[in-house]
Amino acid sequence: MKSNSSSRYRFLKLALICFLILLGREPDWGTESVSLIPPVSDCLLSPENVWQVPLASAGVADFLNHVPYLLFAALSAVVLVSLVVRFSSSVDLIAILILASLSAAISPLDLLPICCLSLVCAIRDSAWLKSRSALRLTALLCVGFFAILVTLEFSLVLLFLILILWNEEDVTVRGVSRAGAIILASIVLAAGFGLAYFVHPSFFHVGLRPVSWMWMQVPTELIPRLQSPVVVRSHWFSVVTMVFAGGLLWSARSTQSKNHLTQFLILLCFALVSLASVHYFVLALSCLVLLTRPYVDKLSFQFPLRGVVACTLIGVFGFAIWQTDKLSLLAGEPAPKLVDPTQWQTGGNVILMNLDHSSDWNEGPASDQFQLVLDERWDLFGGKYHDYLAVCRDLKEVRINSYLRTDLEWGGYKLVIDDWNASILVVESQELLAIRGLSNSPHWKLMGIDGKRTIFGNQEIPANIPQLKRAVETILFLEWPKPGAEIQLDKTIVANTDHDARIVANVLCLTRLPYAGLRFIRDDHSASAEKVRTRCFLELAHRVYRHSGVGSCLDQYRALVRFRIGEKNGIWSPAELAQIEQSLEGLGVTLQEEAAVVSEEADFIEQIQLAMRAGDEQLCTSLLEKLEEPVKSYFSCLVDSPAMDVEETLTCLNRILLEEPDFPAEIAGDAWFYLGCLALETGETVSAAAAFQKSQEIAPSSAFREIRMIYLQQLGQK
Amino acid sequence: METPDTNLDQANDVEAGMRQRAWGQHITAFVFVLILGFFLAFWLSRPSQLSQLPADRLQSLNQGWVDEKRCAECHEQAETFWETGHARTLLPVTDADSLNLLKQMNSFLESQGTPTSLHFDDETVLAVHERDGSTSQIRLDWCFGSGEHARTWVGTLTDSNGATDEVEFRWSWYHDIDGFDITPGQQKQAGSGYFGGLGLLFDAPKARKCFACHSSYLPVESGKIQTSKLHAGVTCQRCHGPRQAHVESEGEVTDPFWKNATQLESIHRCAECHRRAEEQPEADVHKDNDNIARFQPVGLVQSPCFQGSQMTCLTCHDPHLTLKAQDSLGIWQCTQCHDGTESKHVLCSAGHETGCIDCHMPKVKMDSPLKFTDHWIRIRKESESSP
Repeated sequence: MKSNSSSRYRFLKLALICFLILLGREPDWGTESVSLIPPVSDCLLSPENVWQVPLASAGVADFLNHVPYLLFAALSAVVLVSLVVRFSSSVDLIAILILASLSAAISPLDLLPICCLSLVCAIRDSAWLKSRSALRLTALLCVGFFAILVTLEFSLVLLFLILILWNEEDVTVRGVSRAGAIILASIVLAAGFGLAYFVHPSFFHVGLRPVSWMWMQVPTELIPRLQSPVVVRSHWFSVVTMVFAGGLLWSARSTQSKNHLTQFLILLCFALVSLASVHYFVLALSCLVLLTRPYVDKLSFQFPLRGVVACTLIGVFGFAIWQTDKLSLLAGEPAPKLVDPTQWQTGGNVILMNLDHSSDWNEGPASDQFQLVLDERWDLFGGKYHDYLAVCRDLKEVRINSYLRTDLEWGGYKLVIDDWNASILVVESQELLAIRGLSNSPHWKLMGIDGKRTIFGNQEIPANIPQLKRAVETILFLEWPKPGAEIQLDKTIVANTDHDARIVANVLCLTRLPYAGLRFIRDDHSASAEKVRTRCFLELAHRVYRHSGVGSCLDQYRALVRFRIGEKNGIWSPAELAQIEQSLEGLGVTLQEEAAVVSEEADFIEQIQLAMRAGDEQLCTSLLEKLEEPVKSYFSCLVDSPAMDVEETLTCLNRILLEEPDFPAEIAGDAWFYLGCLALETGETVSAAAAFQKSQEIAPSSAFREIRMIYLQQLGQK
Repeated sequence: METPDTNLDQANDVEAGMRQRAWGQHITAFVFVLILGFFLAFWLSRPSQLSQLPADRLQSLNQGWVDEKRCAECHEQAETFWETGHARTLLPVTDADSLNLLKQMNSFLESQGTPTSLHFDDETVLAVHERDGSTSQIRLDWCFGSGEHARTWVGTLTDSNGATDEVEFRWSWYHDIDGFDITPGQQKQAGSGYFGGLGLLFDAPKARKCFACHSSYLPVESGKIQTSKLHAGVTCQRCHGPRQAHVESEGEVTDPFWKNATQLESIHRCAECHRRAEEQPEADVHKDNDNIARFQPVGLVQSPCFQGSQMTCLTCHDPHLTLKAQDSLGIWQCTQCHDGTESKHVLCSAGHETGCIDCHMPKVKMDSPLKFTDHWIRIRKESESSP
């Protein structure tokens, strides 16, 4: 009795760890639902007679497409714990590591295949079925059949099933020897696959999925899930624990196993598959664990287990709480995470640049309105991915017209896109270069942004026009808000978490809407938000420079000072720094902290302006001492602006300009212009317009004349 | 009955067995890790598929590039090739021809009383536009155009992402009038904005497109054109590919393309810049659209002469020679198929024996002072535009 309750307690303890990790992975675990079976693939370029997961295409198991995340987490916890629960409690450390690794990486589509694997082992180990070999074999075959019904990865389950049978030492059916049985099984297997190829070639290709992606060299740029977990930072933990636990399991196994070489090769295969791609990591690791499970009890470690378990529980509990979107949970109604293209009353063919997002478009109402050009089924499209990738590259680089490639074929996307009649183009919101490139495209215009995707619409498709118009109105309103106007933001932009807001801000900045971007990160002072903010200031500096020929003492100075602080704090990667350097070249400045070259002949005002445009904080501070009031206070406001909130700088500048009637006319035009810019940044458009008008009155032919006119036009004052 | 010695031997055997087994474990574990390590090293060092895609040929021509002065060592035509329009279709602004024209332009702009002026110093030419007391300016960097039709200047800028934009200067030089006028495609009235008085601002993709047709090697990194490395003008290796192997093998390695190219492949090679018919919207390809005269291959492939023969651009043009040196305006090309001495040949229904080009390939006037020869070779109706 005691033993039963202790093992029940242990099961619960492990399941709780697993469950909490799974909750921590999904901030909206209370409201989110997931699909446990792959959606039907129905793409523009799909060949005929495609193998689909039968349950998905039959539609009889709709509930499997909308399983609450909470239920998925609970089921996964139970199933994953069932993989390791037979380890003795002395190796609970390994069990916890494996569980943590699996629950951090498991995807909803892995759940049913793992259930099958676990069932196969349960049947094998069942004492009751041990003496009923016919029933046992039937049960195993049923599991295999079930796997074919619910997953595209059935071949891994079947392979595992065969291995289990293969390893049975007492397999002698009616006097057939072991060697004979193996030969017979191989012949049956080969014949089965041969038959499958003739009856349904696509089924055969699906069966080869676990290995075919390797020789097809499916581009991981299109299907990032096929990257090795070793190169995906979020999977490092899984890989490290897998290697550690794998080493221990291997050690346990090798002390026990007899068929050493065969076992070695089999385990090696599973280890390689698990390390080769994120997609197969969980399945292959599960196989590895199940195959080594019977031998693990021989291991004995003396770890302070209670302490480890307690710490793990506290850690994962904190992780789950920290990750959970509390507001959405308490509000009762889930906050949307993604823009919903089905509301746009448009449809047509969709080009995805990240095919891992295929299920967003292959499932639910979206699948009725949209059709993907192709999706992540490499068993169907393996040969087409390279051409598709080339088109994606041309789209990102806005290579519209034909150009000759090194293979003497023609590049350029226009003819291909016309052929596909593509209506929607979906880019990952963190693919900055692609978004920047597409923002220059004459064909593709922004339709929607969220933390995951940035959606562009083909403006030659009439059905896209209403949403394209709405999107333009929305983003222009965010850039230049007009008093009294109203917009429906969530039809175009969804950013309900800080993380998503930062991504959206970056996208807006890249599409040359820096004020709109800044509005999404106003109260966010994290390092990531700081990066986006600095980029926005750089964009503003370029805008002013492009329209005036002179640098902005406000934006250029803020950008440079913040870049340098960020560089010292190490928030910029070398690639980002190189790109920033390239961008600063356009302003005639550099990121290097060199003393600004300031002519001694120039007066102090000119000197400090030059120093600010070069971002020379030190020189600015020293020159401040040489200025007289109220000019000194004015420049002091600007010099302090990188360290102040925009509202503080605005207040500071406002006070000086309003309270100092003797403010020198030669810099008053610029000062009012900067005040207008700050007011625009804070969203005080009436004050902004008034400041720009004042600037215009004081200095009608100032260098900022053109940009000021643009701002006034956008604010509806011209 | 076991003796103590036997027991000792057995114990020794067991111990040796265990040691052997432990070694076995270590070795298999080592092999396991080794194979995993090799696999991972191999797998992770794979180049990305994106980098393995066929690249823009123009960005790859530096691989195997040879100094084109060496072409003249064996090819007589290469000595005068540098005078052709193709070779001189992109010049640094400081090139003597460019500077000469710009100086004339400055006098022209002054005489016209335009608010635009040019300022010269040793290294740079600055275009300055004054409007209502404020000035805008752009440094002119490049001179585009062969000089057979026109020359237009551009200034380059770096955008906020580091990519290269360009400003196409508002004023161009035209060969037909040997003078200056507004650049093709720009409005007579100056535009608004900082650059409005100076010309048109093109974003990075457009800038790249301009340079792509006027250079033979165009390195672009993250949208930035590496102007210091580009090979300006359409020169030998743009059409024949990198020739290092050809030079090193003393001519043995040849370019098979031009020997084996089909009629359409040959046309398409020129059409990379002069436009392929497939790229022209179908609705625009009709006889009343004079604008397609600007895109010679588009018209040519519509011509019965093209469709009924094997003629290509090279039938009439020798790109190694200047236009003047080519006999492209003669009739010898036409008489290969329309020869009065051959009874089977179809002859001019108007009874003319010379001047084929004048009627069948007239020059068509564009909006600007530009004229292009219409390469849609056909019998024209009275109503169609004539020279």
